[in-house]
Amino acid sequence: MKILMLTWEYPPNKVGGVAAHVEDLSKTLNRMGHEITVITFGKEEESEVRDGIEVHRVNAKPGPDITSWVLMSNHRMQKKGVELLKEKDFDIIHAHDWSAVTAAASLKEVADAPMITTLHSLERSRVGSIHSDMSKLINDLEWYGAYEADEVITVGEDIKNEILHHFSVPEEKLNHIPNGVFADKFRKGKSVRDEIALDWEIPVLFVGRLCHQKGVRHLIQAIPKVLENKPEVKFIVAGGGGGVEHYRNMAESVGVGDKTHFPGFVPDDQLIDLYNSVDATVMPSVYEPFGIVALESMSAGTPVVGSYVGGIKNTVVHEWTGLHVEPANPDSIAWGIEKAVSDPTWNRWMGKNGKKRAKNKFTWQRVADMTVDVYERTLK
Amino acid sequence: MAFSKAQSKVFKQQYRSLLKQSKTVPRSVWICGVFPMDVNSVLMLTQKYNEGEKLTEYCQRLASYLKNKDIETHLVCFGEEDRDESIGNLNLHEFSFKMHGDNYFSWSMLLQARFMEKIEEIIKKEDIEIIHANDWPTLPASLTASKLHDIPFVVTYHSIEEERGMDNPHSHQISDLEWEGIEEASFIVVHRDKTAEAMEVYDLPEKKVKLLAGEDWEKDVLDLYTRSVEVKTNLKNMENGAKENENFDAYVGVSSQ
Repeated sequence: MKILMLTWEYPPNKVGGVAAHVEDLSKTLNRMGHEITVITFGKEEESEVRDGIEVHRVNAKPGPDITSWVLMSNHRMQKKGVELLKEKDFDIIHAHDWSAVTAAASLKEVADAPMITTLHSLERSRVGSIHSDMSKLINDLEWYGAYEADEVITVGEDIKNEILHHFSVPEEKLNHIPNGVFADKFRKGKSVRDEIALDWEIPVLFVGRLCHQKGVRHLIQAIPKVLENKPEVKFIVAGGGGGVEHYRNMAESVGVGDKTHFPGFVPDDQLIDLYNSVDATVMPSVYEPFGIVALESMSAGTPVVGSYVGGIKNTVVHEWTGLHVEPANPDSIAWGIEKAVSDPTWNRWMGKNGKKRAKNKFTWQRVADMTVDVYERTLK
Repeated sequence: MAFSKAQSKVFKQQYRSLLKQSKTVPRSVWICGVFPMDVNSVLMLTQKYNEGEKLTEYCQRLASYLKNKDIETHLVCFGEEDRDESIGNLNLHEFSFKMHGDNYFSWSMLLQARFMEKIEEIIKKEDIEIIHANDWPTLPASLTASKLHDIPFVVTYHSIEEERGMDNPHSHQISDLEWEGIEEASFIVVHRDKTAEAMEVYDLPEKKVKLLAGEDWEKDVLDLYTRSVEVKTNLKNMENGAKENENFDAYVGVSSQ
């Protein structure tokens, strides 16, 4: 099949998890013999072949707000799509998230091909509620993407139910396909433990955008509680997203600045080393449609302490591959972290179980097979 | 040798059908098929059709002139409900859209997918030779359709953002779109000195911008349509002629030479 993927981010440009998802899915589909073309946003107009995938980047000047920039960029994506359509036909138009919906909706008309929309998360849950015109538009575009699509893919069961109820999408066109992980990539890291912690310290890792959705505030509130009983625990809070200064100040203000390190955005190769160097990864998210960090950490053999929300409910098995804690509850988060790092034997055992679970249950091959099934259904 | 309108229409349909089949036209077609490049059908885009409004009157007046010349106008725009109807001298194609943007710019951009949908529907049925956009809110879909179907397009700027003062939060994006239209249109039509003066910032070839301030501007617009179609066809012919050196395998039309 010839598949056109539309996504606002694609490596090496990465902000959220969509870039990695689209790349890993595209690579796997490509290995299966499908021809993948990606159109994405970029700093300039350029085209390249990256790991066998044809990638076209389009550029639009930033506007006063994200929505106008996204809509302008979609116009450019649409134009690029039309240019490509003159050279080849696409069997499938696959949009990822609201930020690619208007281009996909146009291109499905001109290509006369089915449209698939993957919704990785929803605005109403990302920001807590629809409380501004901009949020309303993003929410509407998510609805539009689901409405225009022949099939909708979600990465988690919870988000599938949200779409079902909030957007009134027919259940038969909703497909839950969990994310995958290239497990081997994450088990090959080297330990940098002595670079990030003193001999007597126990490093614990957070990875993600530093924003409300990821529950960083609740983690910082939990840190003094952890340190009361386990003063040897040290926190590496890795990620960008504009909140670094805010949360660094918060850590200072609750008196844990010296036990909390904020390295900012960490590139993949260093991140793999970090996963392989810590005793636990903490995911205090208040909303997490899937939570790829859990799979990455588990692949490296590091147990996960994660909120009982969204995809984490499914990826982490309580007291088997990690611990579930209550979202937005610093006491519960502190309890989980302390418990996960207190018994090294149990910690290692959970790590081993997690490694197996990630490798056996969450492969990209499985994701790609399920995605192809969805594609084929639309072509019948 | 002169061709009737009907003959010319048949030739052009055959020509287009070849284009669609092969994406390139055999050299033989342009060697033997010389036919007058008159225009039979125009696709016009405006944001809304509201009786009494200036832009609507502009489209109506142009459509009336074209109708007298036996040329059909299909006007596509946003409306409260979906409707395809002949009104006066034009075929009105309104599409509804229930989403609201967070501002006028976003809303206009959101309409583009519906514009495209409607354009595709019309192009499948009608032999459209020219796309005529009116102002930036109709540009993205016009540009895309023009690219996709190799149909030349002309844009009328009733005013431009430079002239309006660039004081809208989205002025730079609007101006970017206007520039895109300027770059890709065969001709840019303006009707006021003020707009023509504002266009000077773009430092364009003088002949690309047509200031049509006279009483019979409709005639000039039709001339621009004809010229745009001629140039587009000739370019396509040259492109294919340069690319291909094959045996004659198709003949369209009758040699007039």
